[in-house]
Amino acid sequence: MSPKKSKHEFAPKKIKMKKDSKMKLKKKKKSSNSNSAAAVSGTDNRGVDSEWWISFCDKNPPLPGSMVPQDEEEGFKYFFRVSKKTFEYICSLVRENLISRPPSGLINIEGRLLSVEKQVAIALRRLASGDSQVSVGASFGVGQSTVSQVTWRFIEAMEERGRHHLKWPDHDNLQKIKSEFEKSFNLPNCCGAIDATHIVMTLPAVQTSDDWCDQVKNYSMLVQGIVDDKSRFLDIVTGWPGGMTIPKLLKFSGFYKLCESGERLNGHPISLPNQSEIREYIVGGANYPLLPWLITPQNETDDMSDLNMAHEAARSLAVRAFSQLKGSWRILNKVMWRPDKKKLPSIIVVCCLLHNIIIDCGDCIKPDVSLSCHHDLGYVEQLCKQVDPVGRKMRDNLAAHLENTK
Amino acid sequence: MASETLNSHFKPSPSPPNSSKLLSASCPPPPPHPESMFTSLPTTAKSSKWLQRLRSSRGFPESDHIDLEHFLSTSREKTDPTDPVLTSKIPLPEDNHRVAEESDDSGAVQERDLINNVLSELFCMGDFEDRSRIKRKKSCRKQQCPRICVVSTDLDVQNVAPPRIDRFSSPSPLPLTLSSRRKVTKVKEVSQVTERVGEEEKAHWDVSAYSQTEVTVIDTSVPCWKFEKVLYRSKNVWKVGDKKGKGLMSGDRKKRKERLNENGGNVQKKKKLKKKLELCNSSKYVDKEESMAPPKFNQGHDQGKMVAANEKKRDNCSQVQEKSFSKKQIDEGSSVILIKSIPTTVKKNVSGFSNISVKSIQR
Repeated sequence: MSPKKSKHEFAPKKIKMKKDSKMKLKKKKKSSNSNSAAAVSGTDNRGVDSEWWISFCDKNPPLPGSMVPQDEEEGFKYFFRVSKKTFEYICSLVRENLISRPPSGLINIEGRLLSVEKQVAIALRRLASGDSQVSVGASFGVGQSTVSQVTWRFIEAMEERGRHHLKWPDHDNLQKIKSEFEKSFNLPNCCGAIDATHIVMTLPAVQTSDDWCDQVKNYSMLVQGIVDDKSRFLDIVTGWPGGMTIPKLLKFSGFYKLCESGERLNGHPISLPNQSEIREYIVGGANYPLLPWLITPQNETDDMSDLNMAHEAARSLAVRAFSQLKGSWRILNKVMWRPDKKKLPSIIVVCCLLHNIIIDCGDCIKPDVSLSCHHDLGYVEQLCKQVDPVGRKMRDNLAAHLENTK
Repeated sequence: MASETLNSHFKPSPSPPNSSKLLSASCPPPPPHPESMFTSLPTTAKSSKWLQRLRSSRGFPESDHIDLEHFLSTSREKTDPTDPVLTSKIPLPEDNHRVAEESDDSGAVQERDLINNVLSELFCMGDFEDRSRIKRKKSCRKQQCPRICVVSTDLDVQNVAPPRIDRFSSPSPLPLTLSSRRKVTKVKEVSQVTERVGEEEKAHWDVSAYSQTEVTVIDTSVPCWKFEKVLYRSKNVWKVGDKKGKGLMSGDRKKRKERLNENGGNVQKKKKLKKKLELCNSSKYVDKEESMAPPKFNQGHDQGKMVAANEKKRDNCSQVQEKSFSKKQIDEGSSVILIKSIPTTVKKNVSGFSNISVKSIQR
C-alpha cells in the first residue's frame, strides 16, 4: 500500500493535470482542423481521458468523513477497483467496440462524443458501486439512459474480448497450480477449489416463477466458480435459478460433463509412497457430492482431522474469491431490481472477468474491499449425501497421505 | 341491471343487429342500443306495433311471453341460470324464420340449441351444429375476450391436448391470480420448446407435469459460453431441455404460428435479421479465438504490444461485420449514410487490399 499523501500534495497535481489536459486539448483542436476523421475515431484521445477523471474528481471530492483515499492512485482504485494501468488495459481491450463513430456515438450533456475511457469508467463505476444509474450518471455528468447503454455495451464488449482471462488452464499452468496447492496445503494433484453463491434479485410480479425462489425465499441466480491458488476464476457457470440445489447446479455444468467423460482433470495420477494413486481433483464443501474428481470434507470423522483442515484451507480460496468478487463489484452483492435474466449472467461473468484481470495485471485487491462477512450470508450449506465409492477411496488415500507426511 | 349487461355484451358485437327476448323485456322505452340497431328500421317504427314488427323481423314470436320473468323461468329449466354466458345469447339470423313459426315447446328447444351454438362459438368447443361454421371467423375474435381467455389458456397449459368440451365444462372461471398469470406467460414458452430433452429419461416423462422456465446460461466450459435452455421442474426433479425457436412443431403450434405470421409478417423478417447477426457474431468469435494468443500479464504487460494485437484482431474479425453493415446501408438507399461509411472503412482497413482499392479510386 502506498503512503497516503496530504490534500495539499494532491491538489497541485490536479492543477497540473488540468493544465496538461488543456494544452493537449488545444493541440487537439489544432490538429482536428487538419484531420477531423482521425480526431473522431479517437485513436489518441488521452487528453480527453484525463479530462473526464478531473471532472469526476471535481464532482466527487474526498470529503473529510468519507472513505475516499487522499492519494490519487488509491482514489482511482477506490472508485474503479483497478489501477490506472489496468484501466488502460481494459480500455484497450474494448476500444474497438466502444469507440464512438458519428452518427451513432453516445454523447454527453455538452453534446460531445463520449471517449472510450469515460465509457469504461462509467461502466466500472456502475459495477463497482452498484449505485443506481441515476447517481452514477450524476457523478459523470451524463444521464441515466447513457449509463444504462454504456454499461451494457461495455459488458458485451468485455464478454466478447476478455474471454482469454477466464478459461481452464493449459497443461503448464495447471502444473503450476497443482504445485502451489501442494506447497500451501499439502494436497497433491489438487487443481482448484469449487464454491457457489447466490445473486439476489427482485422479480416482476407477472413473471415470478418459483424456480427462482431459493431456500431462504429470495429470488436469486446461482453462480458456481472454480478457482486456482490465487483465487482466480478458472471456470464459471451462471444463469441457473436459485431454487436449484448445488449438486444439481454442478451436474448441469459443462465442467461436470467434461470430468465425467474424462476430458477434464484427466492428467497423470500421482503415486503415493503407500502404493495408492491420487488422480487430479478439485476440493468442494460438504454441499457437493463426493466424487472421484471432487473431494469433500470427511463429515463422519473428526472435523479437526488433517484432511479436513487442509481441505478447508484450500476450499477457503474459493470462498475468498466470491467475497472479493461481491465486494469489488457491489452490483452483485446488492439486491438487483428486476434485472433482465438474460442479461444478468453476462453481468456476473464480466465481473468475474474483471476479477481475473485485476489479478492478471498484478493489482492487489485490498482487504477492505472484500466483503467482511461470508459471500452467501443467510444461506445454510445443505449437506450432500451422495458418495461415490471411488471418491471415498480417493479421500481415504489422501487422508492417509496427509497422516503419513505430518 | 340486466339491460346494462346486455348492452355491454352487445356493444362490441359486430354481428348484424340482433334482438332477443331479454332485450325486448326491457322495453317499452327503446333502450340505448347501438345505433346500428335502428338504422335498419323504417321511419314508421314509431307506431304502437313497432316492437312486434321488430321482433317478427328478427324472427321472434310476436306476442307470447315477452317478459323477462318468463324468459328466465324457461331458460332455467334447460341451462344453468348463473352461467354468465347466458347474457350473450344471440339468435342466429338464418334461424329467424323457423323460430317465428314454431310453437312454444319447439321454441324452447330452439333456444337451447342457440345457446349451445353460442357457447360452442365462444369457447371453441367444436361445432355443435353445422350452422355455427358460418360464424367461425367471428368466434375466433370472441376468444380474445380477456376474462374468458385467461381461463381457457390456463387450462391449456395444464392439459396439453384435452378434449375441447372438457376444457369448457371444467369448473368455473378462475380468478386472475399470480399463478395463473405465470402460467399464461408459460404458454409462450411451450410454443418455443421442442420435444427434445437434453437429459436422460427422454421418453418417460410428461412435459405438462413440469413447470418450465427459460434460462440463459453462461458456462465457460462450453465452447460457445452462452446458451439458452428450458428448465423443467416438478418439486425436486429438475430437467433441462433445449430451446428452439423453430423445429418440430405439432399441428396446433403450426396453426398458431401461421396465424401469427398472418397478423404480422414483420416478425419473421426480424428473426431472419437476428439470425444473420448471430451468424456474424459467431464467425467473429471463431476468428478471434484463432488469432488470439492470450498475453502474459504477470510478466508486466506491454501496452503497445497488446494494442497492436487488438488491432490485428479487429481487422480480422470486423470484416464480416463491416460487409454486412455496409450492405445494409446500401440497401436502405441513403446516399448520405453511404458516404459516411466510406471514411470509416478506409480508415479501419489497414490491409493491403483496402489500400489498393483506395488508390484505384483515387486514380
